[in-house]
Amino acid sequence: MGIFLIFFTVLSWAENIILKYMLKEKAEGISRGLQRENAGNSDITKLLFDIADFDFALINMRDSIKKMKNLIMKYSGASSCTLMFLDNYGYLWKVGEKTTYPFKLGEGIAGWSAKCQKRVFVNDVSSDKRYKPLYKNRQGAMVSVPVVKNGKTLGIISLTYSKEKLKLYPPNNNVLDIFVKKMRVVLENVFLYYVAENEKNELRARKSISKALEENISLEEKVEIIRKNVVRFTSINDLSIYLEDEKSHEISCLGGAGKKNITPTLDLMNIYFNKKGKKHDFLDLSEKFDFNFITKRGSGYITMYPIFSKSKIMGYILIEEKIKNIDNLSVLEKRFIELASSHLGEYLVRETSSKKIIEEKEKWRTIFHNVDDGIILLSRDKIVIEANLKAREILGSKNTSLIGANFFSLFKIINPEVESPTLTSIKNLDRFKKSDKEELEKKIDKFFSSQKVIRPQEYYIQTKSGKYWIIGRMKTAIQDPNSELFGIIHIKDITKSKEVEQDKNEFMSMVSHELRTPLSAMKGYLSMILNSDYGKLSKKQEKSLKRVEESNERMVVLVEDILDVSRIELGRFNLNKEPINLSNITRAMVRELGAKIQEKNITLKIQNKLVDPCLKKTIKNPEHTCNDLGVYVLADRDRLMQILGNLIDNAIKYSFDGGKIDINIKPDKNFVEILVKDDGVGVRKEDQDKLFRRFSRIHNPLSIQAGGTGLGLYITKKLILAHNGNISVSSKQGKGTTFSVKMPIAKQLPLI
Amino acid sequence: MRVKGEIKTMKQHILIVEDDNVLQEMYCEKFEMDGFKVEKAATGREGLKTLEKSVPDIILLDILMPDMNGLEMLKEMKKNRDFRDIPVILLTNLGESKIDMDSELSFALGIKDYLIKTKHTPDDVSKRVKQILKVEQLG
Repeated sequence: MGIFLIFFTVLSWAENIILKYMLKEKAEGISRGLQRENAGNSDITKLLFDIADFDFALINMRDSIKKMKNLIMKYSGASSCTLMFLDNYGYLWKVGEKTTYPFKLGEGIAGWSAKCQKRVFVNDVSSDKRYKPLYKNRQGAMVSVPVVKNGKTLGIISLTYSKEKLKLYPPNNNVLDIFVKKMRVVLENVFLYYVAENEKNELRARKSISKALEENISLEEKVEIIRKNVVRFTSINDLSIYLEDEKSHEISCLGGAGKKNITPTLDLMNIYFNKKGKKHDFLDLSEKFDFNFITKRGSGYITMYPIFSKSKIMGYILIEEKIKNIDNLSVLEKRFIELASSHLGEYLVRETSSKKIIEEKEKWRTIFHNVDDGIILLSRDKIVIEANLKAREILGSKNTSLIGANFFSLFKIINPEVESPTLTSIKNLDRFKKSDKEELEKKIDKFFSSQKVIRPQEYYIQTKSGKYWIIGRMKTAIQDPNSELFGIIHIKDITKSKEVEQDKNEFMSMVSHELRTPLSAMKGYLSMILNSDYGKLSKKQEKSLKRVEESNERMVVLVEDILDVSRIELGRFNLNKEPINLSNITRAMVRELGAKIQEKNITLKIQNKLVDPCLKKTIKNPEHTCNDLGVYVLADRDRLMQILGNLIDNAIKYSFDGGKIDINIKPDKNFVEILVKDDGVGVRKEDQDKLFRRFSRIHNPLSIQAGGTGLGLYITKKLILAHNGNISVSSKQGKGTTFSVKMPIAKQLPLI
Repeated sequence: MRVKGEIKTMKQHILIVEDDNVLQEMYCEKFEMDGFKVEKAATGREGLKTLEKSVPDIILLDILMPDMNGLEMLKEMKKNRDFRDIPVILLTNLGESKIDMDSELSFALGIKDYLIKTKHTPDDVSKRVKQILKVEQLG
């Protein structure tokens, strides 16, 4: 642009020089001619000299233009003079005056003259219908002279003559031609100046809008800056900016003249903005549109530019003018308004998305810290990256962040049994020795190398803030090699439920102890009395006391069973599974129950088809021994004895005197089936389901006095299920019952 | 009868640690009847005090007791050389109906047997005590 400017300046300077000399020579002839035509006109020669002396200076354009105008008025005799240049977009702009609306090419006298490049002279403008009169009440004349160079219109010289002036100095074509020639140079410069200036102005306005949008100021202030810049850059007088409130969806005016006015809703606006989001003009709204908000305000011209935020209209720029100037805005100006609206729209998109990111972040932060479990994020070297409030509370204090601390420096694992030893604690003493901190560290090391999940496990830990029971587990975080985050540790504080559980257990053991002590005393003394430790008893005494002893025994069993049930329901029975010779243990159990078997004169057979042919012998002699290989099941020894005991005892109970009981041991691939078959009273089909329920007493028509607690089979079933086994029953009333138990086979034999 | 007389002259010495009065009385009666010299204590701490006075041949020890429980008393005993080797029978009513205990650990603590009060009669206990003492004497 600069090069062109210099080029044109040089050109204009050269032309000036040439003009000065050429015009001086021609001046005499022309002035003679002029004098002939218009005797009263100013001296043409003088004009030529004045023109030659006139230097157009861009730097002081306004003054230069003023001088030019004065010259024109002086020599042409016009009462007023307007100089206009034509921009690239077909608009005629007044030169050297405060920016006003331009004339469109082809409209009005000036516009028409510029378009057709013809000199237009309108005498008595009021009578001409082609050109709308500019001065309705005055009679005068208008002259519009196009300034054309190489077929291109540069601008026009527009002159008005009052009635009086017209009489004195009618327009002189020769004089005007001299000015046209001069104006070519001037307008070329003005055009360049205008382009440069416009670009500069636009850049400045855009910059200040961008700056305002980035600055840390309120939205109202931003909008005000946008409004001021649009007004400064364009020729519109004012505008209002309306935006939709994100939450209430109400439209409110954030700046400009519209502040006091009524606001149209976006829905309504959506109808009028076309899909491309171009502006929409409303002409004489009061008549054309049934807008309540407009009718109150009378007629006017409204133009709206939508403000888009991601293809959604968020608001609009509203331009309201008394006369329809919008069409007269240059493309540049329109472009600028659109630019301002798109800048604002983009800003709003950014704002809402960044607001959303912050909100999202805040949301996750809130969740993170308000979870009732501790969450700790660890780096590869086991340093705490982040810990939530609960984790802080457990591992340190609410005020310490824990960040940067080594995870293992935050707690100690303690052995809960050290504080209150019980029988099980002695059992588990060496087991606890192993599961100390080193063990956990090893586990976590393994986790870090193999990246396997650490399954939830209970730990009792001592931290700065106290002692806690926790369930700890660990998971790998997102596998991003660049990420600092490596593992997530999840701590569930179960101290309270643990305390409740412990209370319950303590209560249970207390109750059991309290119940058992008197029962023990009764049992002890009864046995001593019956043992004749206190002297011989009469037959009657012995019989009665035997009954007392039996009742006491039932009470003992009942207490045991109730305790077993509560233990099962608390999920608190430890199974120490080991391979057990099922054949041997069955025989042992039968031996233990030998007295009852003999009492009822029952024949009991154990059949062990696969391995032990010698067990086919009828067990009549409790001291029977047989060195067999046996079948091994994986079970807890005591619990297995309880299961077998219950089943055999049941079979004995519900057998008739002289009945038969068959015990069959059938090993399979994964399970051993144990069948306990009696030919006793049996169970009705409809009662069979009830057998394994708690406290279920099944009415049997033969009313054999069984004297059970109604818990035996329930406990038996639960114990079998805990061993991953199963139990089923088949029975026919009066014919007998068969219980089938399946227990998992031991894959390995015991070492001994 | 001759054998019984011999034992009488030697008067086996038993310490019964049991917090329940009735049970304590019952076991005392039984063992006195069977010709034992009986000492009794109601808590672990009392038991230790009694030990200071005279060392028994065998101890019948309850587990759940106030002040100092049976296991704590056992641990204390293990610290004293004079008491370390006294055979102990745990007499309990604790939760597990059938107690299995790590045999090595039991051995280390000098526990010879567990007897359950609701299951074993005073006669059973007495028999077991005599059995153990016989073995001890032979050893």
